[in-house]
Amino acid sequence: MSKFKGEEAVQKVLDIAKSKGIKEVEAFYVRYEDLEVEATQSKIETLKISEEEGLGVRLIDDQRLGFSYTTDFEVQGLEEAIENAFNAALLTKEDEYLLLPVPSATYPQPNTLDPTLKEIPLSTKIEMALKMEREAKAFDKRIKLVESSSYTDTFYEVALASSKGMNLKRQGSYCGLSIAVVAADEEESQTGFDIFYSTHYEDLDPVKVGIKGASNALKLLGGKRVNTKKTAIILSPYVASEFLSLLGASFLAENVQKKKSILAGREGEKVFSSGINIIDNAILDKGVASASFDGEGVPTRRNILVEDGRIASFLHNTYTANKAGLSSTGNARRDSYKATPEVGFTNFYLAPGDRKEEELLQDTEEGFYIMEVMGMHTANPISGDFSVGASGLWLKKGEVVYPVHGVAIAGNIFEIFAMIEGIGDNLTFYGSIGSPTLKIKEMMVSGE
Amino acid sequence: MDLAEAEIKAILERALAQGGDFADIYFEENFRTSIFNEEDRVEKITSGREVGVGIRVVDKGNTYYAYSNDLEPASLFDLAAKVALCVAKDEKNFALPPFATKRKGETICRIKPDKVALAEKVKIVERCNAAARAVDERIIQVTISYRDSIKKIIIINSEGEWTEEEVVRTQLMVNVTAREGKEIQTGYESMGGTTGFEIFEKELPEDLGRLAAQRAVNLLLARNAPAGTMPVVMAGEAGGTMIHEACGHGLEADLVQKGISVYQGKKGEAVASPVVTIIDDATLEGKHGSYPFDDEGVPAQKTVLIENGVLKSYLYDRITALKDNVSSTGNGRRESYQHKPIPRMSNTYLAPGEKNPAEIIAEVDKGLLVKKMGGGQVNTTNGDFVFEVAEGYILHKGEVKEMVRGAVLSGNGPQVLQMIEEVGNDLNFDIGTCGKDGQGVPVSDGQPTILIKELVVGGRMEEKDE
Repeated sequence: MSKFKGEEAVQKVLDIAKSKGIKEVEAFYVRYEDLEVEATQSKIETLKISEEEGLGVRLIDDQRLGFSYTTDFEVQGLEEAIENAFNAALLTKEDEYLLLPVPSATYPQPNTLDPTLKEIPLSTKIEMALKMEREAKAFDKRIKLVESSSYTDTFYEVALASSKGMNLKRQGSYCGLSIAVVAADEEESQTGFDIFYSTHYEDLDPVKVGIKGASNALKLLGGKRVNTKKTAIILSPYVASEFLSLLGASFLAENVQKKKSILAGREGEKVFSSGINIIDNAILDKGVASASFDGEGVPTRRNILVEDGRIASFLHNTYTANKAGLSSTGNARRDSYKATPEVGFTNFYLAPGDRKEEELLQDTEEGFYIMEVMGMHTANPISGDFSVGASGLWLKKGEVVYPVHGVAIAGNIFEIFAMIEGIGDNLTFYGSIGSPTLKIKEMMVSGE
Repeated sequence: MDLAEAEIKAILERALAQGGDFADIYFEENFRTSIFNEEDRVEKITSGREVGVGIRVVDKGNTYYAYSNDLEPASLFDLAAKVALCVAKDEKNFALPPFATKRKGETICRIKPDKVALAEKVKIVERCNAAARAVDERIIQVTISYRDSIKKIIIINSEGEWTEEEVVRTQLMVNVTAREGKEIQTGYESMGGTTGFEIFEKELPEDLGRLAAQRAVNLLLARNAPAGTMPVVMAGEAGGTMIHEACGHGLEADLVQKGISVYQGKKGEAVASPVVTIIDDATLEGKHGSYPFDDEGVPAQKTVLIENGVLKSYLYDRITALKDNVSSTGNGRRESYQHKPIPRMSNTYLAPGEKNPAEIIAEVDKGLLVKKMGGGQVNTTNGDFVFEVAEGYILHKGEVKEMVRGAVLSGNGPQVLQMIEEVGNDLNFDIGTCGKDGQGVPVSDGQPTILIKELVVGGRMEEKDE
């Protein structure tokens, strides 16, 4: 039996659909080659390699959406997917705004592929994970163990074709390091971690990541709860990114249109503090989420969501744009070939300010520097309310008084971003989301 | 998956050709359907078939793993060769024992999802939607997700074991958003299990929708939860997230053996108050975390983890069991063929006691009553955990007072287990997806009404503001 791969597979889907009289159809194929190396106790505990591929079929029949997916590229597999998608369309509601986009004349070409990645021997990559663990362990005698020291990389290729003439393909790669380190003294153990991702292997620094993970763990030793009170807060770039992520949902046009965003109708309004600039940039050079076209084949671009605290725009895909009378911002995102293209982020970040982190800390009379939060997934992106566990450092004018853990912080994300008193110059990315250090006027800390 | 024993044998031997003490092949075929309803209509129906295979070699406790979507024999042989290349020890010939009798298992399911017309599934979602929206005019959005799956699994290992199972799951989740002026609140409910469409005969979609909608509306008027440390009563109907975070993860043998669990080295010791007995049971019929065999082919079982406060056992998979010189407890689970199995919970619960829940509530002078929990998270190294209070009430002089909102409860696992003072007679379970090491598996968590001496409540209201 013959197989149809990638470009051939998507074309075959169009042919089969056409023969069945289906007029509007789109096929999306993706293939991944993954490597995961996890080291602990000076050896490789897990080594995983894989090749994954799948295809999603989307069709619009009589203004109704149908979708199905398959990992079977034989004719019968593709036919089953088309039939399932067609049957699904019979039962979904008609929607006049459903639309497949037309191809563009030009597409940006961000740098998304490291051609050396596949050439680097497995043993070299394994050694990187082991080296990172050694660096972390050697950093301080109180480093008890490294929970995991991991290297991962992915190479992917995408093919997209549609009855509207889309016939696109793209490739990319990304690689990254992550480490979780345990520091201990006689009384307790604390964990610290760090991660770093890039599209290019040469950017990975196992020494830096290892040491950062270790020092983050050490900083939390000897901590305690504080008394319940309101206090000034400084968010480390990692925690700030987590808060940004919670805020981000309100900028997706789908949420705006479905009354799940309190920012609806507030374009032009100054909702956040001055100096806040929030950006989604799909053409960021070496951005891990960069791509030349989005999940529907629309060319991508850089979008400004917040400019100097003012709501500038929302992110759209073809459907939401059509509904709003606008153009797609190139933000159709598929979480996998098994998912439809919904509105999503690419490289999403809060732009750096001009204050050094040390300055922001020294300028704070007394406050809580938050290094980690727990339970952020329970926060409510619609109301913006959050209540999460927190740990970090209690500071007085930048000097550590003692570490803090076992407390919870609560607030509302929209209020927080309207209370920003200082923005660091240290924009740091954690995968495709990033932020600098942020100084917040106050939050409620629950402890004793 | 039409593979002859001889072909499988050749593949396993190839995988072990460059070292290893154990290998297994995990075949999976998963057919899923999901229906998404929002904006008062069925927006999206998705279905699809995913087929995949994972080949694992274990060498002295280390794992070498490869997966793909290609089940052609030649491709499987290649995959096995790739894994062997990763093991890269001395070449040796692993002698596979003959295959034992095939063991088969399946979830007990009366109405299989592939025998139900898509239109019938759509009706379930529409009924839920209509009931939720009818609750109150302040409801501005109802989001409903129906999911079913038929997962066929074949696990064959180098010890000659051949296990086949079919697991059916059905789930319904609803999230309701209500608004009054500038205030927006949401209520979430879910139901589901290793069961077929018959689940909707006993648990009505309308009830689910109404419950979520009522909570969203009630939360509009709730005041901010207090901030500080206080006694907490967790109602039986609240779910079992606390147990899951307070000790469930900490009792997974891989974390214990890595030295990152506070429960390490404590077998035989008192780790909880004497009224606490905690059990993990994958054999409970129809429960969301149940299965006939785990994802290494080990039969599901009931494991008493903590008995009357004393730590009895951890949750084991094959690799960790070997290390501790015990048998696997059948808790080796994987999200899919794309992952190696690791110790996971199944259905984890605090066993019920004798006390009447109303009496427990009456004991509290000043505290919090939790009627519904949301998600949570734990740092097993130090035992600190949090979980969300989705619905809470002030307790004052033994009486349930006003509803409060917006808080996580924070505590330390071993400390909290020691502080459980009363255990009610009303065991209830809630379903969820447990995440660990980048893998999500379906679980259920349960507990009866319990009184905890104190937890940190992360509200926004300082007590002195009252």
